[in-house]
Amino acid sequence: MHMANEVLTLPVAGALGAAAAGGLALAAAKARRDLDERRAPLLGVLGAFVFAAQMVNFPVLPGTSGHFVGAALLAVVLGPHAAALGMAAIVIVQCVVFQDGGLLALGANLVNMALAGPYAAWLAFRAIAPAGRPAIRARLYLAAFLAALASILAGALLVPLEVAASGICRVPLSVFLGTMAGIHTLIGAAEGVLTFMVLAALARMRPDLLPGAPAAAGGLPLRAVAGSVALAALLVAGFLSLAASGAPDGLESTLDRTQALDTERPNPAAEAAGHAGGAIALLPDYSGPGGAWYWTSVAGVCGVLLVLGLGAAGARALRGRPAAPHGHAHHH
Amino acid sequence: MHHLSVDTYAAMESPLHRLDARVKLAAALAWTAAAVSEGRLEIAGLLPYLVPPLALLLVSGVPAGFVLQRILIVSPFAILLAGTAALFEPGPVTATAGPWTATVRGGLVVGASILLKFLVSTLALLLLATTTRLSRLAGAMSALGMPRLLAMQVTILYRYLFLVVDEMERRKRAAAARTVGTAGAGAGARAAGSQLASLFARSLERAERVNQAMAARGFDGTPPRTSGERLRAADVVFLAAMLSLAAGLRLRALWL
Repeated sequence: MHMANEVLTLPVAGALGAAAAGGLALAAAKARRDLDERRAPLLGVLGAFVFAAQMVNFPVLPGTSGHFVGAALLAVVLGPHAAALGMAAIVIVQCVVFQDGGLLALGANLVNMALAGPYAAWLAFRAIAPAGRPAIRARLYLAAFLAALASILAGALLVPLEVAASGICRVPLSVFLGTMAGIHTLIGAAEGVLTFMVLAALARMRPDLLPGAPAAAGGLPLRAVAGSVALAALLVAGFLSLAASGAPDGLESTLDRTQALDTERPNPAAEAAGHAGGAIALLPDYSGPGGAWYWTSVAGVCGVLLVLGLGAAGARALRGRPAAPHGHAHHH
Repeated sequence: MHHLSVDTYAAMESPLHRLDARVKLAAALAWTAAAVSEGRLEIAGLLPYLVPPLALLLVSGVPAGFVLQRILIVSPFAILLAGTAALFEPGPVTATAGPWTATVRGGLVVGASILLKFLVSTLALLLLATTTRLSRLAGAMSALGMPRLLAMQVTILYRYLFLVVDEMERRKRAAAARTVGTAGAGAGARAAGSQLASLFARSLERAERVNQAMAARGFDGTPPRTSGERLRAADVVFLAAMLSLAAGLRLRALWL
């Protein structure tokens, strides 16, 4: 998801540009040390691969498809610094050649997609599958899944924060955050499964390319997949109910603030409301009394738990019958 | 994948094409910054920002139809943002246009302003992209402080993009030719996974061959220094004109 020029203010765009410049300079220095100097063209060619891979669509839900993003895969195979440079090259070409995201927003897009994505992926992967320790397939799957999910979510969650910090497009933060997080958890889950499948296929074809990750060849570990999908469903429900519950409160608070802006007709009540909102302008919609958003989220999560529980019970009842359709997906 | 039109136009000849890439990059950035920093309820004040880019478009000889098509292609996100702004800000504002005044929904004004800013900044970016080759633009970025390693990745990525995308297309066509009807979601994901993995492995092998070829031609790991282009008089005049125009428009409150 590319950030746009027109909803950023200069200070925010400038700060993000400086952060991107600093971060990429550090990444370049580190990558230079990690990568053999003569292997420098590697990143560019792999960047071209990620670009091409983004053209492969896969089904997310019936009727919707997502595409591969690739930050997690690059981070696992090349390490975070080189992956950051590779993703940065992609973001720059997307901006200049395809006009995805603006020139002024380039810093924001580099921070979101070239820095946050690869480093979040790397941290998540290493937290679950530490280097140099052999891991079973299910653990490697979870590591790849969470790495991909973290890389997608990190980038997606920065967008609403940057928009809110700029204050040009005044969408209630909880609505924007919840919607972005909900949708991108779905995308991240698909990216996670795909990232593992690419890693597993690579381990089969070219194990020498995966110095860090032990052999993970083989099919999908079904139990881990089921667990990760359930986790993703929970997250989606939680995020989306947060978005839904934030909407009315947020609408009121923006209404108040816009009226308070209208200085021609001073309105003490609206002005007071505007000040109340302004005091915590970064999280305007959290100011509502009673924290109703919190309980709606809890209700949403409980609903999903209930549905999942019913589904699991149904599956167990079905599996009670002889021909268990479990084993055949394991062999490949 | 056909050679991109952006590239075809970047190889044309015009006074704008001949300008130094650093100068054009700085001008596009300054122009975008000036327009984007206008107030969030500004509409009329944004219109003058469209005039110089449109005049430069005429000078460059890049077809306006192509530019319009690119703007439409990238517009959905800007339209989404503008629509969201319109939705979430119902508070009324008073708009004046000459003798007429009207009270309108504030969000509509914000949305229109967002769309205009999008138009100005995309126009500036397209002018830059259609009059400057990517290799020169990458050189300009590294001259303005981007790590040279990254600038090199940008040019290599762009050089190999077409090859790798073509290979991907061939793979997709072959897979479609082998698949009768529609595969289930599981089979589809598995096929996508192994397609990606083999493309990844082949890209790595290609990168290794490129490394060897470059090493054989004397590449020692230092990215080539971008030719130390000298700024010509035309470059300086263009940059000064664009910067003062941008500053003049942005600070018009001081002199109007």
